[in-house]
Amino acid sequence: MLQQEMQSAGLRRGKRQKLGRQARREEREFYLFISPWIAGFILFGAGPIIGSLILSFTEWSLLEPPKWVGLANFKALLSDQFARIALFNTIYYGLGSVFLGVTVSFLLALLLNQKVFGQALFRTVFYLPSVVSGIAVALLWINIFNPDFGLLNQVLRTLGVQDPPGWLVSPQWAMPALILMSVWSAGGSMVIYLAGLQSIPEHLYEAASIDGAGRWSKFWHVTVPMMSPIIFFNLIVGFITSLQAFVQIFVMTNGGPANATLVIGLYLYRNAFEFFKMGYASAMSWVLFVVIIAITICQFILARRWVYYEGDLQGS
Amino acid sequence: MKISASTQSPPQADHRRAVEQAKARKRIAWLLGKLLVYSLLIGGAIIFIIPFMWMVST
Repeated sequence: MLQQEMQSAGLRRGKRQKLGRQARREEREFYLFISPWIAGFILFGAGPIIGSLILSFTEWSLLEPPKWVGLANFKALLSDQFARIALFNTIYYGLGSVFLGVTVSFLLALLLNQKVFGQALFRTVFYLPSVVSGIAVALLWINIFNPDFGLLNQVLRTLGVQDPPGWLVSPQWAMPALILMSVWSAGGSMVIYLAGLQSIPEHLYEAASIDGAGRWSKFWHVTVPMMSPIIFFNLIVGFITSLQAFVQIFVMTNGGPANATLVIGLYLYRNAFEFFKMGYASAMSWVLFVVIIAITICQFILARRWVYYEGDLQGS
Repeated sequence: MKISASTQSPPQADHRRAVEQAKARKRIAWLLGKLLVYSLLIGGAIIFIIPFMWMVST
């Protein structure tokens, strides 16, 4: 009996050792295969991130070696009026473009989810602008917003507006114009909403119909709760993207007129590559990172109140 | 026994008329809904495609 147990234990140990060798080989292969990604991440991801954190405590003009200044860059940021303007404009742009973008793309997805003739054509038309490169979009909209011969003001004049806005040359209208332009590329999030709408189980609508729910009631009590995780995802991604806005603003207004469109991304770029204050720009990028993290955490906390996950009893 | 329309009692005729009216209302609502959906889709598509067309034409 004892001998039998010892034999089976020995067999198990042998099997374990064999499996162990195989597992170790698989482990080596795993690290070998992911090593290009790890090297890329360390060189181009983690390295610059840690480097910028260290640089944020220094003064560096690119021409001389960095000089340690402690928290001086962060203190200077607090009293920098342009940084305050940039932060305000960034949040203004973020709130405007995200809420308008989420609303428009959700409405478009609801429309495109109907059984209509030419559905594929409509989907293509609405998605098309989101595949155009950022610079091309910017150049296109510079012409559309031109106060004298731009398409938008031509249409407004035709509709009887005597004195249409100056759009990109007006401090009051420049930011609304950029927000309006961002909505044109709502096709990307529209596709995500469309996929979400198509994944809502039909039996929920059938059950709601049996309970006597009308179209509006089904929308508020079935569609919206089932879509809430997707709306939440688009809000998070939208905020993160819009708070880092740079390319189109750089091309279209370069922060003007009168700093009306000066956003953090642009001010950061100016400090780094025009004023050669690399340390200050790094500090600014870390403040932007903290702002993004804070807004994301707030969104996650608020999400407990309105995001519903199927099967989650705590969700409401 | 089959009851013809002429021999129906008034409450039955009223009920039938009400059902027909409800069906007609439902049909009109459906048509209006479709009209609204198509209007929004075509209007939206024009707004989305016009910048491309304008840029090509100028």
